[in-house]
Amino acid sequence: MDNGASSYRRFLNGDDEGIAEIVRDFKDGLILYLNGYVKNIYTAEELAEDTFFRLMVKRPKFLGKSSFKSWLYSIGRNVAVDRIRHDHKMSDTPIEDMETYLSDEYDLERSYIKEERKIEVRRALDKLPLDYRQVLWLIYFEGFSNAEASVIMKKNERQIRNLLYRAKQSLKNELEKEGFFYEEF
Amino acid sequence: MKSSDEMINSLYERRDNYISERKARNKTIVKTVSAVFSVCLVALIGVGVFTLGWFKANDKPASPSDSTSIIENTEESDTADILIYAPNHDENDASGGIYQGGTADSLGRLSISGANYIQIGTANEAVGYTKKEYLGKASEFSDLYRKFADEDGIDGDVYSVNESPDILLIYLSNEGVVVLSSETNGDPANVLENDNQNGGENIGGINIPTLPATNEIDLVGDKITEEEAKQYFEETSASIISSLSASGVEADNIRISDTGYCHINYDGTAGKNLEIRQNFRDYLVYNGDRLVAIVTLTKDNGLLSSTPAFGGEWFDDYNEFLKQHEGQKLVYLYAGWMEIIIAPDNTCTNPMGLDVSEYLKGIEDPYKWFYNKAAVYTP
Repeated sequence: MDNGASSYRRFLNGDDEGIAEIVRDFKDGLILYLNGYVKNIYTAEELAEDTFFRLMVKRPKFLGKSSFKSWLYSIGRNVAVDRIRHDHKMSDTPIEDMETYLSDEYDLERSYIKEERKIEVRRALDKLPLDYRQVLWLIYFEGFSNAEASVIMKKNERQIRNLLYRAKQSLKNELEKEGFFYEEF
Repeated sequence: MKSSDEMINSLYERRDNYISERKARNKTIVKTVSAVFSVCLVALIGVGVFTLGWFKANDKPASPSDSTSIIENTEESDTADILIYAPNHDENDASGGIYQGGTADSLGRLSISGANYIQIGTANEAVGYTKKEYLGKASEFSDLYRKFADEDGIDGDVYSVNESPDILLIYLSNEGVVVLSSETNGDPANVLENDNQNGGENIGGINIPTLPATNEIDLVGDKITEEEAKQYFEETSASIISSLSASGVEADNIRISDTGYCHINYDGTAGKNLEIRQNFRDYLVYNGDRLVAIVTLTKDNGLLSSTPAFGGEWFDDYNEFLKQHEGQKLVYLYAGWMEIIIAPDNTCTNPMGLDVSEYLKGIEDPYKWFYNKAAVYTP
């Protein structure tokens, strides 16, 4: 797997396999990231597809000022915020679909996150405010640096540091309530 | 959920549909514009013929079939297609004719004072913009338009627009209109597609609307009274509860707030006062003591209708905020698309947990500045 930039360049030069590689490499992580915004794995999947679609039809320039992945996640974030503003509706999964919904969400997180311990932490994130979830997900699960997270979340690094501190405290409390103790938090 | 391959196939399919729709739309516009252009041409020829006195020399009325043939030929004209829409591809191009913002082979490009602009639309997209300042002839700023001017005799007048510093309009001498956007304006990582662009500061990709100079408020819209709302909810509560249940929200002990609230709106439009739309009113829906939804009542031509926003746990933080400020008068705003709630101690929140800290910076006492009893709710 390359970092996505060369795949995107090939796509811009007319090779559709470039965008296919990007979808394969980034789809799962992007869905889980966007799920943090919309709290509905199916909506997050739609938003991820919309993000790739935006790349396909608008073909924006990637200037290389950040990593391709953080650029892609920034686009995904904007797609999600656009949707939230317009739909004004967070979760509309019919109750009869909830079982399948949870099963799909768990399958996806298992295939992407793998470590059981991290999966527990990921689920605890759901109980935190949006900004806390976002910053913890980007830094601890996706491995972005503070600088990259600041680009994606449209905040400065100082805000990210403060946010991260408060988010860790909040997560620690949440995990302790569940009976888990993690030294790293 | 879709596998990667399923998503890729779905994307290809969507792109094909998108391209087909664009082509169909462009074709319709080309035909319409060409037809209008042709009629003008025929009229012009007619005037010319009349002025030159050819009628007198020949004394033979023009055959209807002559003018028909002119229109038909013009409809198929490749020239009109190229000049108005500036396609940037050939038939074998994988993009299939869609706009390729930022790619090197894009036509419809223009460079003014070091800034590059790319064509993003035509007459349809131009509707939302108004001319601000004449900047010059298109041929002065672009090799492509110089070529059009030299080879086809069609140049254009370039204008900035009142609505955005990133948009230019070109009024072509063949009646076509082209909309261009600056390249920096197009990066979707920086720009929210539907963001308010009326006026304000763009911070982190989100437009923060400029505040009006004064806090004067215009009351607009057909007011929804609490009595009307109460009657509406009595009649429709069963369907609201049913919608909530179907959306996975616990709805075994539903209660709708006795009073609702309007919002103070502003979108950065210069010269426009703060505004309270009295025909939009939000009501809080609780299950037990948990806030599970917000229902927006709207009144149009005297008729009420509702739009529920289901929140579930998304509203827990907002619910906590309401509890913390119980008995206090909270002020509700819409800054562009962003909903902001201000408490008397000037702490702010958003029902969906979005960060609103940037919006009210620079106002010494936002609560006092915005306060209006028509946009207040007391939890």
